[in-house]
Amino acid sequence: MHSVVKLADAKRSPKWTDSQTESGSDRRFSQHASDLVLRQVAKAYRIDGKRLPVLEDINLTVEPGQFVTIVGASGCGKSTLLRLISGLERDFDGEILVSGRNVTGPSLNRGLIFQDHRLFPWLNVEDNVALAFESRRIDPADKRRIIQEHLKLVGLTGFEKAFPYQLSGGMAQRAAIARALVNEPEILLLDEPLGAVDALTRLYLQNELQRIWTQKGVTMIMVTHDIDEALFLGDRVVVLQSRPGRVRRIIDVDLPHPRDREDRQIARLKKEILADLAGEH
Amino acid sequence: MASRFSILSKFHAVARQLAQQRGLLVILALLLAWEAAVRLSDNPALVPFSRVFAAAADAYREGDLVNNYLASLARVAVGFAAGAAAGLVLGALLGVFRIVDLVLGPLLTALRQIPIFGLVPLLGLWFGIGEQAKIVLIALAAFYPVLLNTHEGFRGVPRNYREVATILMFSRPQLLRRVLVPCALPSILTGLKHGLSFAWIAVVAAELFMAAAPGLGNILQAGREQFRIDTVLLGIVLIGGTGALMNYGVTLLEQRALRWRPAFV
Ligand SMILES: Nc1ncnc2c1ncn2[C@@H]1O[C@H](COP(=O)(O)OP(=O)(O)OP(=O)(O)O)[C@@H](O)[C@H]1O
Ligand SMILES: [Mg+2]
Repeated sequence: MHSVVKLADAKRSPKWTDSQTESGSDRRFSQHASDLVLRQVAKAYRIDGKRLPVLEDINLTVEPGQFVTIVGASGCGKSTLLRLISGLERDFDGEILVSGRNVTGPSLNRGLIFQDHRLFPWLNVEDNVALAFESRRIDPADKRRIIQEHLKLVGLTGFEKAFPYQLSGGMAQRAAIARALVNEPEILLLDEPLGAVDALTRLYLQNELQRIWTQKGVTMIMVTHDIDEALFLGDRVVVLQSRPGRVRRIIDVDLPHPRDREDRQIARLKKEILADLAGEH
Repeated sequence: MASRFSILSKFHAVARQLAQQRGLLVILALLLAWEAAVRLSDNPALVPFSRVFAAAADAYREGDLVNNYLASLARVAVGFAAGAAAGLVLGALLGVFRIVDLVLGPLLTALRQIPIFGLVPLLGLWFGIGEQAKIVLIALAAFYPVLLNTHEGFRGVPRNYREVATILMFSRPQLLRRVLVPCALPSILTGLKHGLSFAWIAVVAAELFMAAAPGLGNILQAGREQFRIDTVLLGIVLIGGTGALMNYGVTLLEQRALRWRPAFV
């Protein structure tokens, strides 16, 4: 087995705020994306006293501004991986480095969009997005302007006062994207953000995500179970195998964006990935 | 033509309003039926409902109706405020800090098993026959429903929402203000609603079973002593009506505070 680097910091029990580690830098709200390095990352959960290895031997380097997509069978640890990178889960082995610094907790520099939108039902769209500013000092006028800009970016102008129950699934997901974007994170982690929307909206939102990615120059790491989506958006596609989750293969997709969904090379890669994933059963 | 149309639409509007108030119509119909039934029979134990108004007029003229009523209202206000405040604070502590729940939970559960009216003799011994014992009883009545529902509300905040707060780097006060309190609010309001109606029940009980003092209980008591069924009914109607109004008031408050819930639109 590989050597596992233990991180004293990562073993600490969760605390409420822990921004000092790498978010204190000036780059925190800059437009320039950070690079991300995962070295020998491993994670195990305990279920009923028994150790359940979820991720093992994950090595990955993501260049600033890259779009990385992650595919893999259900339960292989995709969400767990994003939770580790986000800093939400601090108990793991190995190293996760953002711009060379260890991740020891959440940071506004890394945005996470959950699998479910997680808007607060008691706040309207505008106030939900404003939550992202809660822990920052910001001029109210700037705040309003930035929120407006981002609602426009995700196509929700006119829905500022709508409560989450008044939104469609896709709209709620877009509001969640806006909430994650307003702090200009250098790294945006997306956990199947389009999982709950219909096929047509999905295509539309894929284009939107790509537009936002181009416009913001942010590093995006997106989990999806849709291989077409992974290949349409990703500069690199990470294929995970399950039990425990390991990197089976990383595919570089050397095609310019925006891509043609019918591209021959994409079709070929899709076949390969499907064969990879099918090999598991 | 136009005027006929507008009359018609006005008629519709009135009809619609009446339809919306059908709950009130049922009550009105029952009162009418009561009136009719009593007038048709000749049982002296029954009095027509209209006699209640007469009793109210008498009591008002004698000057104690308003005093008694206000005394009860003041009592419930003080007792409810104290009990609800204690229930809110303790319920929040229990729901937010697991250690508080572990330490105090079993004790509170045990105490809750004692019907509060069983405490009347004890309260009398401890707090004397004055106002204090009554207020304590009312406060206790309001305390438990508020405590339980507040506790439930805070404990039930989904982990999902806390994680959003963690990701967005909320401080503890921000977590409380932005996530825990609003998420627990529906349950808290339910607690307050029940607490208020329990407190109102306790007011009447306190006034009937504890030392005599001005209050609606007094009206009931006086009616019984003087064999005035209409006076007793007056007391009952005032108690019931006030309780219903309080409930209605809290429901309005709830509707305003919980606009974000689809069920309330
Ligand atoms: N808090 C937890 N405690 C114990 N086990 C957990 C916990 N969270 C996740 N797991 C386990 O970790 C494994 C990976 O879960 P994860 O949510 O990362 O999967 P996933 O790849 O995102 O799956 P899906 O595609 O269905 O969303 C699962 O086997 C799950 O049982
Ligand atoms: Mg998942």
